[in-house]
Amino acid sequence: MATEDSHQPLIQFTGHRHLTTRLLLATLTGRPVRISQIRSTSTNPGLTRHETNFIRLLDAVTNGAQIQFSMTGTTLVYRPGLITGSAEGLGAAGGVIRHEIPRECAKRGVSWWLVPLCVMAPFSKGNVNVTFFGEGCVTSSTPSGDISADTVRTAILPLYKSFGVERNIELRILKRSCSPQAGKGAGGEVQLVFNHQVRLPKTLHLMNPGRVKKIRGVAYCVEVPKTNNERMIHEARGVLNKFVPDTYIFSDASPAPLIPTNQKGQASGKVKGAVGFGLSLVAESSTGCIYSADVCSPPEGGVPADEIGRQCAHQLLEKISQAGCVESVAAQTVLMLMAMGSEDVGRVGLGRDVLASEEVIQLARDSKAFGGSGWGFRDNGGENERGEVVVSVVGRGVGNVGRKVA
Amino acid sequence: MAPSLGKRKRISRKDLEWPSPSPSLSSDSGDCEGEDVQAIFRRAFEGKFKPLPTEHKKPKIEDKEVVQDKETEDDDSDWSGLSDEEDEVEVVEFKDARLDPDEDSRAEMKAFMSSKPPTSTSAPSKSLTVKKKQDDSELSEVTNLKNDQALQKLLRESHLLSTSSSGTSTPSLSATGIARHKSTDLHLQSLGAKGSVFTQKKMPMAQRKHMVQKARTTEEKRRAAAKEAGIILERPTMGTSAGKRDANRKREQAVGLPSVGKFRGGTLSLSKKDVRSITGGGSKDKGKAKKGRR
Repeated sequence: MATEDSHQPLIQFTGHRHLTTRLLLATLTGRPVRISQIRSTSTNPGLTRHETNFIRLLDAVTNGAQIQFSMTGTTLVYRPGLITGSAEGLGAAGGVIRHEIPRECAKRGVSWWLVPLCVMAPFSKGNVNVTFFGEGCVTSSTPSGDISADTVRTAILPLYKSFGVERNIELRILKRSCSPQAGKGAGGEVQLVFNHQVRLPKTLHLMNPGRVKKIRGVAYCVEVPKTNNERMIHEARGVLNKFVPDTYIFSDASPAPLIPTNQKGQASGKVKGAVGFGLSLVAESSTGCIYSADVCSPPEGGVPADEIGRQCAHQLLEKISQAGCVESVAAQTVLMLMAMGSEDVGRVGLGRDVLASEEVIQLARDSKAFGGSGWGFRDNGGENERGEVVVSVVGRGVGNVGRKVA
Repeated sequence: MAPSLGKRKRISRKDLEWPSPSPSLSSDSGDCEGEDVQAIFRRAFEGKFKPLPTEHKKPKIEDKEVVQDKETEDDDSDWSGLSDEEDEVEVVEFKDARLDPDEDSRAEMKAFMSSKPPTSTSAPSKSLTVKKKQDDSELSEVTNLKNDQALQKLLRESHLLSTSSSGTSTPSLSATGIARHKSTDLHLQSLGAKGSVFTQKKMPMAQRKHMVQKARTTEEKRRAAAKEAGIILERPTMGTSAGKRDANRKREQAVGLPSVGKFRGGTLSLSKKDVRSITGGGSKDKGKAKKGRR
């Protein structure tokens, strides 16, 4: 495999942006990449800790991947291997890969690892069962813009159903944690079970966004009084009930996770992880389209729960106002799965604001660089005054290499 | 509409009685005088004490109407009776939807808060049940069937209830205690259970024989008494009665065991009869042996 790959020309990229999507596309298509000038002008050059940690995760779920860094870490050459999932003997113990996220990665939420892993999982050779843990594992949403693990479960994972991937998918939040203050640990724990692998995902045709018919949500609090949940729920319902009476927000209160430590002052040998509270809202339309919103208390605190609830409700309304069948946080997942589908034209209606985001446009360019065909755009009236755009994506037709002979 | 019609009629009749408008005018002036007297009294009262609470609108309206319709005093009193409806208390019921306890919210929570990604298919089950409820004829049919079954059961087990309730002061239709166990047992037997769970499986032979005999004598006594009294009882079931073996019943044998002799303690013991049946000829009573065992 490796010798075969070495003959393939390296696909060149520059810059640290869109690193996960590029590495993901490289893994799914099996093409080696060279990413150079990673923060070369910065005073802190090279890859950050969470980026190297993601590469470590890629290494854990694949077999035969080669990764080379330059001395400064500003250049990365990645030759992908076969996605094997949690195969025994390759880092997995008891069918589970335990992936530690160190304290330095606590800036990013665990969804930053989870969402790309979920995209890879249907193309794996074996089952995927990964537990994320450690001081950098933040299950709530973060100020850096990552969604919470709850939103991954309620807004991202249901999308896989339309691609024919629906069985034996679970996301267990074993320990909740919020984003910690600088230099402190989070200590959350999340387990992803993704046991439905396919040869090729189904072709998607999704152009009718429908009307929002129900809103669900999870209000979570870690080590703070449960009244915070109630206040968030009350405030969010006050905003949303006018539009959708079928609104239920569930409350989940949990203690702070305990992190083992060897600090001097701690006689018990454990310290409490980050505390806080947050709200995750999900709106579902009559045609099964999903919009989500996610707000969490900042690590330094000082924002009342009512404010968080109102912000989250307004964020959800804003997401719905952007229209389209797929919201911004899910657009990359959906488009990538469409690009990896069968050699057929799949169509999806996107709101203009969603389509015009930097990530989606760069994904279109990158997927072309990886040998995919260009995407087609067609205007489609839609409910929004600015209209929607139907994006047509032709699948590569390669699909799951590990399941080719099955 | 109706009162105005009535009024018009009355007015027309009055018009017939008094063709000239002067009497009505005079009555009007009389009314004004009454009003003036009241006003004088009021002023005097208010001069001495504090002002009286009054509604100024109502009398004015009445006055106008009087002028317009040329009403008499008795008509006026009719009106004052109707106008009381103004101070009716308006009841506003405020119900917070958020505080409404919902029976499916718990199931919904289980579905949503589990570790699996939530599916949008949980809702249809609710709507299905609602649809069924709306169908009236179907509903009545279902209840009829239920009632029918309950009646059948009651008829079947009425004797249990009568015996059980004889001791207690308040007989009830629902069986409790031992009667309930017995009724369940009967139900099981009707559904095809092999025997009652209350029959003792192991007991001394003599005791069993006594029991069977007792049952037979009781039955005989009952029949004799009925015959004397001229009561026609049900036909005695032949064959299945206690102590007699069913003639055409097949003996149940295990598969693979020898069909002759008795297998006991690991040895097959053959009686003379069995030997004769195997060897066949040379016996005195061949037919008997053949009949005995198959």
